[in-house]
This record gives sequence, structure tokens and C-alpha cells, in this order.
Amino acid sequence: MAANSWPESTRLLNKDYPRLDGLAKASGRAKYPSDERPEGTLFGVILYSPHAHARIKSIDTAAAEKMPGVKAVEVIAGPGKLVRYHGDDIAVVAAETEEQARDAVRAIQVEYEVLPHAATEAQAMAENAAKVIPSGNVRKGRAQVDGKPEEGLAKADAVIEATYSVPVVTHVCLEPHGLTARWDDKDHITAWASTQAVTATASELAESNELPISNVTVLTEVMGGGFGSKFGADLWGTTAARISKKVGGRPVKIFLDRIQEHLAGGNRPSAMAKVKIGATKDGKITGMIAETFGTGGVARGSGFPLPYVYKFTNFSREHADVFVNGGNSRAMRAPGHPQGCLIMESALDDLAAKLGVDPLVVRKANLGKDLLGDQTDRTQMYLEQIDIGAELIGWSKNFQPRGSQKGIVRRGLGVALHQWGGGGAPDKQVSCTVFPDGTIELKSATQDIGTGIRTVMAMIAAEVFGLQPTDIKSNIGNSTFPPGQSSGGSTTTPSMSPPCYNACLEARDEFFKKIAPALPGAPKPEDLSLADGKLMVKGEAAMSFKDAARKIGMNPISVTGKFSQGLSSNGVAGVQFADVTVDIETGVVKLNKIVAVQDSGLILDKLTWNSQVYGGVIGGLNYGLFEERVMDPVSGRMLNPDMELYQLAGASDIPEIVIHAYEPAAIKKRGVIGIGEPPTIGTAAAIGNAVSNAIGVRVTNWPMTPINVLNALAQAGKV
Amino acid sequence: MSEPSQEPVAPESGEAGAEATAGPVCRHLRSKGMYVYTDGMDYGFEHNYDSTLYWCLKTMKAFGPDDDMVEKESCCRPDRPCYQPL
Repeated sequence: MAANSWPESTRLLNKDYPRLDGLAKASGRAKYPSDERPEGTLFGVILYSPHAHARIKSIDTAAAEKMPGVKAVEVIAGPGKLVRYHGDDIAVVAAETEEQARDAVRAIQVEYEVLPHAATEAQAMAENAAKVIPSGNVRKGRAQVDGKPEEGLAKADAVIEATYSVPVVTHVCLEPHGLTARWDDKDHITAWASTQAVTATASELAESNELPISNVTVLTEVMGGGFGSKFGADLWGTTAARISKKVGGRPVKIFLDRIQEHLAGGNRPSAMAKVKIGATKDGKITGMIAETFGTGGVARGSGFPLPYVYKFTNFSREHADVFVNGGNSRAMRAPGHPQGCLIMESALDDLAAKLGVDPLVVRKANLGKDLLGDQTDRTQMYLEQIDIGAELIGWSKNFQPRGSQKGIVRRGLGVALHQWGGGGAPDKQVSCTVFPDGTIELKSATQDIGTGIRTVMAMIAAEVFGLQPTDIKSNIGNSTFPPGQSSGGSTTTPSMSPPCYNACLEARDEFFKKIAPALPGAPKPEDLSLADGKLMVKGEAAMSFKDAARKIGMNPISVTGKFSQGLSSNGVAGVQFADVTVDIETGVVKLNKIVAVQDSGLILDKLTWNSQVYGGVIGGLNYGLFEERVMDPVSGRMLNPDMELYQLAGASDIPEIVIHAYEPAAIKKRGVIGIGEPPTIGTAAAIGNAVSNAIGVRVTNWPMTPINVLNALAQAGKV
Repeated sequence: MSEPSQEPVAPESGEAGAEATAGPVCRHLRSKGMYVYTDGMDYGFEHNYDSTLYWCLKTMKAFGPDDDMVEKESCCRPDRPCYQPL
């Protein structure tokens, strides 16, 4: 019988436990997909477009094909085809060594008809702009209208009008995108893929090669980050498989290099918003009118939620996707939410400043059942989380109203609220096998993108069997295992922990039934229990678990567990505070402290949960302070596709990060909810508000770089 | 504090799976949400924001074999030469 709740009292769950593969990862012993080099591996290197927009007139691969070590040349964009951005794929060379493949790529002769481009939003939206797609560069979405915005604004005691913007930021996964594909025989493929979806990757390799899905095995023992950008086989994966077939089944490895990662590995769309919003003296929002747009490059997907978090009526919002000649977006950790959050929270802070009220008052005055559809009323959660966070950041002691500070070095505090869904998919499975030697093995075709699901599954099994997580074989990252969750939308742990728990409970009960008759005195199965690595009979230790396991006979017990309601849920709230110091002469922002208050239901492993929050906050502060894809309007090329000019935080940029897991009993009872996305959403918004609080001027353009800070001060006549 | 809702899992609106389907989509249409939200529910596209990126299994790009954009709204049109219904 499937469980509908987690145990009240736990030995391992809801406590700290280090990840099982932590030492292997930290010591370099862990073998990532990009480390794999099966015997006979050929190295694939991609020729990509140097132009923002061009038509291929001709392509000559003859010289490349004759170069040393070259085994195959595969043309992706042949004569007549368009390339739509700097970095768009044209051809792949596979050779015995990576160096040989790179040399051969340089020998491919391509004649381009260079076309006019629009590489920035401004270029794309200009009159007579070069067309990125035939139907036009700007596509308006459906307008949102609720109530009577103008009438609402007329009732306000204060109204602000402002424009906010945040640029495109690229995915910077530590391990690049790619896979190694090998045709094992004429009907089977094995691939070692850096993916957050082994089953999706297997499915796409199978379909693109006209094989049954069960004939494809995708392996992802560990992987170096995906953040939403590594779903499916990708062009590089299907091309590797195609070349492997062409060369008689030799493995072909295609992984992007760092430049290609920036150009073609995906990005978070930009967002620009013109906002007019008003409120009464008590901070209640009376109306809002917003016009927004953003670009996902040569693809759609720039939408983001607005209004965000707060509940009010009388608003209208229009959004447009703008197409530019730039690499296309991919889902990035909480798609749309960081943009919506920083625009909403900036507007609210500016409104609070104009009203002359504490920013926290405005937040608290506008809570209610959210507008994003999961119908979770987070009001009480937010009220409590705001108070907790305010205490941890020292709000009552240190907050000073915007514009009240003097001097060159100023300190400011900022706040932002966020939300996320993060529920479990009800169709996933985990198998639990108890072998006669006492080995317990879990299997599922999910993968660990860093959230620690391998460890969490082992903790669940260890809890049920009275063992340690290190006693459990927690096997994931293989597409041939029972169906597991693709890791997106913070759904992995809430999807996988229920079937894992059910499989373990059922396997344990089966174990008791099987061994009871073979025990001295033939106790009833219900008299048996497991604790501290021992079999207990009526509460007394009888023998070790391993000795007990021998009594099941020669054949293992194997159970496949399914999802059941009650063990997981969705819908979380979070509040973040930032404490910054800003030098108004240099524009340099220094982070002093970030406080992250977050709920996510029952936390199974507090250590990996905290790691997710730390990582989310660090990702968020990169968004707030450093990251920006810079496009050259003249050439249409990305100017900073490397790790020197594409700025990220270094160790000294990371402030004190204080995490508060908000988990009162009612929250724990909700069951498991994902944590991957939520903690990255509010950080950039809180930082932006803290900077504005410090310097007395809204910095309307993210990131909070010295030039953006100084420009804001200059525009306000403050320097 | 009040108990939050325990309603069925819905995708975070704005991702694939959060859109109304007008007709049979092309069998080669793919998105992240199709792999993540597998409970078969059809979530209304109720919040007017869409952050979904689609790709085509034939090209593995955001443009199909006909060089037109890949998206749910148009990858269900029989007049696209590459269209193959599910």
C-alpha cells in the first residue's frame, strides 16, 4: 500500500547528509560525460558562422576531408541555407584528435552572402530594420487586462513611471553541452551525454536515427550543470550519432567549446519594461499599466510574469517578443521569474520611496492569492518570511529611507519576494531490489543535475531499511532504468522521492514476509523491524541486516514503486534581502550580506538543500551584478563570448549568505517540493533595490555595474 | 498559518505544457516542458506569458526544415510542407 505521508520521526531525513558522490566530484575522480573517451573515439569540432546573418552560397569540404586524421565531414547548413547568428552551426569535422579536427575545420571553404542583421533589440525594433524572421522582428502577445487601470491609477496618492531593463545572459554551465555517441551494432546506440534528461536524449537519438527507443542507452553518471539548457540530444548529439554510423560505429564526441557555449548554448532572454504604477498612502496598489518586451534571440520565449507575486486589480500589460540575430534562448533556472521579479520589485520600491513609506509596508499591503495559477495563498508565508528576513538583515536597525545618506561610500538594504511551483510528476518509478547478500539497489532513469537526488534516494532507502545511505546502491543516470523524471522546473526530488519511498516500503514489507518463517520461533512479519543495521524481532536485535537478507533465499526481492499523493506538493514562497555598499565616485557595488528565507515543503536532505540555495543566490547575484551578453551592433557578433570578458563573481565577490529554511509543521506536512529554481529568483531584484536605497537614485539597467550605477547618478544630476 | 493548497501539480505557467493545444501538433515538435510535465493534463495558458522555446526534431533547431519558425501555434498547420501530425 502506497504511503500518503512521510514519517513524523526520522533518523536521516530532514537532516544534513553529505552527497554520496561529493568526494569523487571534489577530488576529480568523478567521470563526467565530457571526460568519457570510449575506445576508438573520434573528436568532432563544429564550424560555425562568423556572421550574424548570411546565406551559404557554397561550401567546399574537399581539402578538409583530405587532412590528416579526418574521418568524416558532415555539412549541417549547405548551399542556400541561412545562418541566423554568430555561432550558428555549419559543419562538423570528426578526426582522430581534437587538434586535427580543428585544423580541418579551418580548411573548409565557405562562401557567404552576408545579409543585413539586427543583433540588438534597438536594431530589431528600428524602422526599416533587417528582418530576422520573415514575419517581422516584433511579435506582440495577447494583452492582459484586469479591471480599469486608468481609473485605478487616478485613485492613487502617488504614481511612478519608470523604465527598467535587464540584458540577455548566457548559460555558463561548467560542463559544456554535448555527448559522445557510439553505434554498438547496426541497431543499438550508446551515448554518454551531459544532459538533465536521459530519457529525452534517448528518445531524440532514437527518433532521429529511426531506432526503437529501447535500443538507445544514454548514460549520465554525473553532470556539470544544466540549469534548463540541456534537454534532448541537441543538434550536436544527433550529428555525433550520424557520424558514428557513417564511420562504422566508432564513438564520436562532440562537446561545445567555451566560445560556442556563449554563442549557441542558450541564454536567458532580456527584459525591458515601461511601468506606470500607483498606490494609496497605506501602500495598496490601485493600478498598473505596463508595456514590456524582450528577446530570446532568433527564437521566441521572452515572456515573463507581470504582475509578479502581488495581488491587485486594475492593471494592463502588453508584451512583445523581439527577434534578433543572436543565439536563441533556452530555459534558464526559473524561466521568466527573475525578470518579472526585478521589474515588479523595482517598481514597488520606487513607489514606496515616492510615498515615503517603508518598502516592507508596501510588500505586506499587497499580498493575496497569487496570479500565477497554482492557487497557493502565500500571504501568511510571506508575512512571516518578511519578518524573519528583516530580523536577519537588521532592517529595523540599519534601514534608512532612500536619499537620506550622504558621503561617498553609502550602504543600502533591499528586499524582493518570489514564488515558484516545483511539484512532482505522478508517472515516475523507482525500483528497489534487495539481494540475498544484503545489497540494496535503487534504479531510476533520472539524473542528478546537482540537486543531490542520488543522495536523497539513498537516504530514503536507508531510513526505511535502518541502514546508512552509503550502504545503498543509488543508481540513476541510465535511460534504460525505470522511467525517471527529467530534471526541469524543480520537479526532480518531488517526482522521485514518492516512488522511491513507496518502493522501499514495499520491498521492506516483502522482505519481512519472506524471512519471518525462517527465523527462530517463526515470528509474524509485523513483529519485525530494522534499525542500526540490524533485524529487530519485537524490538530486540536478532541479527545483522546482512545475515537476515541471506534468509530470503537465492533470488532477490524487487519492487517498483510508484508515485502517490500526499508525499509531495507544489507552490513555494521566498524572500531575499541584500545589504550593499556603493562607492558613488567609482560606481562599484560591494555585497555585504544576502539573506534568503525560503520554504519548500519537507526538506529531505538539509545539506544539499542549503547547497541549492547557496548556488541559487550566487547565480542571482551574478545576474544582479555582473552578467551581460554584449552584442556588437556593427558586426552583429557577440563581443564577450569567453570567461574573461563575460563577467562572473569571483570568490571575493561572494558576501555572507544567510539561509533560513522556513519549515513550520504545516509546511513540512505538505511533503516534498523542489528547490532548484526558487532561490535564484529574487536576488538580483533585492540587490538592485539595495543599490537604489544606498545612492538615492534608481539604477534602471541591470546589471549593477559601475557604468550603470554612474550613468544613473549622472542622469539624476548627482555627480 | 493557513495551510497552502494541495492541488494537483501544474507546470509553472509560462513553460511548455502550459499552453492550450489547438490541434494535433507535428510529431517532430519538442520543448522542455513536454519532457518535464508528463501527466497529460492540458493546462490553460492563462497568464499571458510564455517563455517556451520549441525545437524541431528534424533540424534540432528553432527553425523547421521549411526554414520557418518552430512553435506550437504553427507546427499544427497542414500547409507547412514538413508537417507530420502526431
